Amino acid sequence: MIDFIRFDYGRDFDFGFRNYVVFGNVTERNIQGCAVKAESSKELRTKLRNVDGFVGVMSRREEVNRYAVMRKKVDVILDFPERRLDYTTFKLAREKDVLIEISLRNLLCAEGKKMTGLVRELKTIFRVIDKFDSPFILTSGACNFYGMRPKKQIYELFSFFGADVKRAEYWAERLHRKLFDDKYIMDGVELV
Amino acid sequence: MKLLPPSLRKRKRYIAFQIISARPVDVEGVMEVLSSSLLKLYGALESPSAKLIEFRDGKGMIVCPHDELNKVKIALTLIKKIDGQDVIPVILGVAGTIKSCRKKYLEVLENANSANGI
Repeated sequence: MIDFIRFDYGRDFDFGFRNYVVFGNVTERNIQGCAVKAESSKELRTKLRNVDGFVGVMSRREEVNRYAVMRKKVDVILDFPERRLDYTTFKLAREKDVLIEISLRNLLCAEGKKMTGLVRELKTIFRVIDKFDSPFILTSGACNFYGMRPKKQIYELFSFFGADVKRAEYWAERLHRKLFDDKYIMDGVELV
Repeated sequence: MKLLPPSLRKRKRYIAFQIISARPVDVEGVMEVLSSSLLKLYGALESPSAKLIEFRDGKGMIVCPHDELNKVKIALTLIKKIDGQDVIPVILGVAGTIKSCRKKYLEVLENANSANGI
């Protein structure tokens, strides 16, 4: 199982994840992810030319996220409090095999009315994900050590809001194989 | 009503948890944060009745009705600060009795050392 975080974690405490992908920070102890922040499709296109590896896109705008899903280089749409996704993005994510990150960080940051809105949106997102069977991953999205939570707790929390935890585990396991298993080529094809 | 017959009493669950923080936290702080977290998440009508029954050396136990276990677990997970300092609440496990909860989750941690691999 893999967690996406935003800082270099030294693995001092076992949270139940096998590996961590670090976005937006340099790491040597974990897997290096590449976060691309863009406010327009043009900016995204330009930035994507210069990046390589495990690429995640961060954008506040729906159309940029939708465009990002269609790009071959993009592996994941990263989550942060201002992220907006539309219905089409989930459908395209399934077709193009792009992961959609859903992180605990948003819930930890939100309070009051913002929290109510966020919970409502989360429930809708999980319904749409269920409908299209879009690839998604449940993560902590932590910016520091105190933003992290054990895997079991993260999964239980999202399951309460309607997430299909078994499916989330499947996508996380698949990503793990993609990154670490040399024999894995694609679904149903592997070296024996 | 003070005493109910056993058949009418609600079944309970005991949640063993650990608070990871830079400095030690006190019982009052944990109690206050837990109740405010429950109230904030579920409001006055839906808030589950959870009670902190033990807290020592960063480890403690919460009792709650068995049908509201998930709600309490989520409220506990969403705690981020106690007495102004950042914390990580880690749920160690859930048991049906105080005795088994203590034996399975809290005493194991007290007796743990690197030699026996726990």
